[in-house]
Amino acid sequence: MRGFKKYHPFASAVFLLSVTLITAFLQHPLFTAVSLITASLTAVSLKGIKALKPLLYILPFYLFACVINLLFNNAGVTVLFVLPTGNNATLETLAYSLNSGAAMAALVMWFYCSCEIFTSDKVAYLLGCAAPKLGLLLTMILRFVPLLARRIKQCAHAQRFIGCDVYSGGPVVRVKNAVKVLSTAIAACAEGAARTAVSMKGRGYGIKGVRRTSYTVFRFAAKEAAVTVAVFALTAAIAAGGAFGAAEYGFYPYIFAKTDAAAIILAAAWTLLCVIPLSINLTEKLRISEVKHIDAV
Amino acid sequence: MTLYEVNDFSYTYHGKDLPAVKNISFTLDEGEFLLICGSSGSGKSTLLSCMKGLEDRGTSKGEILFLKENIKSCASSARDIGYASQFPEEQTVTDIVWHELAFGAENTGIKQSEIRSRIAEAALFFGIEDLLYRKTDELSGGQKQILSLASLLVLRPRVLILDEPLSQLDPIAAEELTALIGRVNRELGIAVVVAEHRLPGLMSLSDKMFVLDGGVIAAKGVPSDIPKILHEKAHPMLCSMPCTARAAAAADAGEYPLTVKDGKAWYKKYAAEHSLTLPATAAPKSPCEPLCSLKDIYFGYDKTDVLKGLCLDIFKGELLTVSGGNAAGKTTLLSLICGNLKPISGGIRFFEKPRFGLFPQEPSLIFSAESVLEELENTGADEQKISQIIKLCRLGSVLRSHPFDLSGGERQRAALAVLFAKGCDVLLLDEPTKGLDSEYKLLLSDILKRFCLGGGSVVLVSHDVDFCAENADRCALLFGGEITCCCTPEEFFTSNLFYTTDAAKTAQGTADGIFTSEQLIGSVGGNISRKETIPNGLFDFQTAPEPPETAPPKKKPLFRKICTALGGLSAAAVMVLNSGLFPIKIPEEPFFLPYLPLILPVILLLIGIAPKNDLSPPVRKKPRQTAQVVTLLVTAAVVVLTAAILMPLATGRLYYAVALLILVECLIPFFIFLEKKKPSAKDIAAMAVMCAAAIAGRGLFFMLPQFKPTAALVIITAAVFGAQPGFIVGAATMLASNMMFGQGPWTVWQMLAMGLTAFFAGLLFYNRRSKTAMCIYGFFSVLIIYGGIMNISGYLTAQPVFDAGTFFAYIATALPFDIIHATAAAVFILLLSGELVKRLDRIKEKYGLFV
Repeated sequence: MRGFKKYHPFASAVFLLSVTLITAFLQHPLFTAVSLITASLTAVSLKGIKALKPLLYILPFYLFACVINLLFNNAGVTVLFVLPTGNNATLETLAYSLNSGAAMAALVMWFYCSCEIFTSDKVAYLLGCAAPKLGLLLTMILRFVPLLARRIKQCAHAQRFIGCDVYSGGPVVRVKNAVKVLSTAIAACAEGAARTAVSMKGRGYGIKGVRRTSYTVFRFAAKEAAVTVAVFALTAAIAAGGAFGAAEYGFYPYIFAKTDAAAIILAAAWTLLCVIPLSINLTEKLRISEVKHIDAV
Repeated sequence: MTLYEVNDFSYTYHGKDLPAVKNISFTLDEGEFLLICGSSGSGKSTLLSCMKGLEDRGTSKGEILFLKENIKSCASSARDIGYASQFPEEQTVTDIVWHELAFGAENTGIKQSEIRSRIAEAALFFGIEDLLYRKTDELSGGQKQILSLASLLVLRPRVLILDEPLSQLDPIAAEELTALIGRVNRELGIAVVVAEHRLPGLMSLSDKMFVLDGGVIAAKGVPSDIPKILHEKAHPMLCSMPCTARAAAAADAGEYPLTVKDGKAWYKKYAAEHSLTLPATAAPKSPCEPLCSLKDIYFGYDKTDVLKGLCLDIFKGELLTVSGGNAAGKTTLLSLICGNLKPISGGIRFFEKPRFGLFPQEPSLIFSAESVLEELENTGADEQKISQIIKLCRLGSVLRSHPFDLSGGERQRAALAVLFAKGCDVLLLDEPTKGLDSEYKLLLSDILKRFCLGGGSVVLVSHDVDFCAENADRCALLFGGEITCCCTPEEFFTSNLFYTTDAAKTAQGTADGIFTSEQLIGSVGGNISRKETIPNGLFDFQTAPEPPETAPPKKKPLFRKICTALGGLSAAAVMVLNSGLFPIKIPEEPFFLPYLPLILPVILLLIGIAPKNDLSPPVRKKPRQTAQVVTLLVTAAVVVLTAAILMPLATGRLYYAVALLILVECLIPFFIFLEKKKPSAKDIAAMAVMCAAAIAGRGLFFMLPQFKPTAALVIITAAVFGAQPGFIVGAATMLASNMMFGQGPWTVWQMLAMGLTAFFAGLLFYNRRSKTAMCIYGFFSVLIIYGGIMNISGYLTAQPVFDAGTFFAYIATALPFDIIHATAAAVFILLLSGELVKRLDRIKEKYGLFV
């Protein structure tokens, strides 16, 4: 299956940037709800039902934020109860906290999707477009991390028998030994870096008078172009609508959110934007099951 | 057409007296195959890297001309000369196979569409299409070598220079690679220069060959003549020739067969005409005491089982070799025996508790001192033993050298010496013959035999069938997760048809009992002289001296003790008060008030613990910090301007947008610096390694959750490498580590926070540094710069409306975690900086980084 995950990183980046920014800055309750639901569904379509786990993890954190808000924030007109510190806990603050909590949850889910979509090679590619040296540095870091992890393990294994045991003994001794192992492994790898540099130079890195190109396996085809244009158009429409106050909302001093025709149309556009990856994934799944069906016949 | 013309070339390394290669002259034509052999340290690698024009810090005499142009000024060398060094692991630059293939093409500015077709071509030629999207780190040794060969070919070179391409491979993979190199030469007409110890397969492919000895050419000619020349000169390098040629030389046959096929024919003919002196069947070794026995061992990572029901007995005083393909689980087996890994099921029974010595595949991981001698003295062995070990391992000439400056063979000897000096009963060796010449292999086998005679046991994991055949008491084959056969080398090598020595293959059908080259040569009347004399009594374990007791640590002055106690107590008190267990009023303004009560206790604590010795950096020529200060000032000005203009306008969520803008403004100048300055290959590789270390180092401190050395490593790196590289290392570390642990809106903030922490460390400590100062800086920078920025980020993310009350409540709840991070930074700087600063400084000087 190709799916949204296999789209050119530029298309995915434009989409994810757009949905996260709008979710973060346009916290109209309707928009927040759409964002949270579509983000969760997209995550499920990418990774299955276990993709909803992050929601469980952030729940306590935002309950806590909610409590802090109630304790210290006394804006709003509908007083629920008065705290011993003299602070008023208000309905508006509660509603505000719940709404921004939902927006945060939506953001977390979008970030979860983007982690799933943006594999390291895509990040390196995108960075490499803007800052080629940084992109290369990142690629090399990703290459060295497993090597260093292996070297550190080998070093810990070998040093164990020459008086530097990380695996047993008191915590202080173990930490001391681990530090020695770490610095030995780092020194060995830093020496290795000099050999890597030889290999880089050997393959033409840094030769004078040549502009380094940057190669990628990703292709920007018609599909990607369509998605990109759609995202740009919808984002522009929502941004314009938002700027002209078509989706006004507020919590203080009292709860207020526009739900007239303009707001509904804008919310529809927002829904359309949010379901792009979901619809791509679902259509492809449907096609595959059709193909399987035909094969079976 | 002549590719290379080398005229009377000599090269002396920077800071060395004697030249590494001397008076070398030869020519290489288009499409020729040149093979260079020689013992380790004979100058092979030096010559090859000079031919690529990579050596620039030493002095050279004579000249190397490539296409009639001096190699040093040759513009086309990047494209036309493909060079692979002898370290496949460090050769790989990028993380994914397709990118590795494209790397060279990107550097030489080839267009995207052309790179695509070249990669496709190279992948097809070498049959590695399936690997294109794999991670380079997951490839086997053989695949890595094939990849590095393919990535050179993407550049369409006219000559390939390969430095010991086979040394890390098992026999099957080595044959595969040899065949590929041959195909490149024959089918594509690309000239090839190979330096190698493992000759048999390569000799029949090459057109020209020469033997280097001590930096000079000892013999030169077509490969079939080389054994003759060496034989006539009675040159010791004869022992590196294929066993068939050596046997024929010993018999004075006048011909020198190089392959098993020719050797077999000659041997049959010889046997028909002469009578063979067959080796006396060695009396089976009397059954020794068992040392340990492994029963039904199962072991695996995740889903795949590496070992499935493995059974093996190890006896005292025996040399057991374990062979098997790549990734058969040989290294895992060693780890299980010595207890570094625990089996999932099954058990290991020890009949007595032995002291282990583990020789890792990468021997430099053993070293932690400044010189080989210091390394040996640190083990606590007495002087007499050390001098015996030095003699035994031939380390006399390199005693004062830094262990990392040694050549591959010397490094292995030194690592072995350390293990001996520490003393052990069971020696576990992981590929000890990797990259060793035949002369040292003889020495190693003598050392190991003597070790066994002294009652020690050796378990040796190796691809090197010849070495196993000559030295093993028993040979085991690891296949499919179990030991499929474990018997004497006679049975093992004479019954195997493929996985056996060339000597056994040659003698098969003529004299079936023969399986080592020694026996083969002996059978035609020759003998191998062993000139090495080993000092006696070295492995006499009964008289092994107890390691001397470590000197009692120096007493701390009273003043420091008081500082420690006071600091510890008051820090604990502040932490408890801040933990929220006690209802204390959180001060509202100014915002740094919650941090203030901690300053005194921490300073006291650091003065109390910090050792006095300061880390004096080497003398620098000139501090180059003008650019950095300017960058800092410009950034600060832009940030202040943005804040002043936009902050009053911002309301609600726009606060976050303005903050984000400021953030990006702070990051941009540093990355512009990186892009514009064009860091050299050395610099960028060193930065990548330090970032990777900061990420991978977390795993080592599994016993301390939340207490990680990342910030400390970044600060130390900045202190050694400077402020600018420090910032890059800090920012890139956070970026890359989030790539593994999850990206989020916090990534950009973390990049800036860690980058600035490192940047100021670089400004402060690049020229002057002391441990105490670095510790104190580490604590406060992580608490205030890193913690402060991350608190603002967290607060703005969760609470769009800025409100003093909630902000301070937020900081107060985050404070305990910030203090843990800050303490971790200070503690790790205290522990790490001593050794690491010295080592990084050395590497920086040696390779001329960041100049």
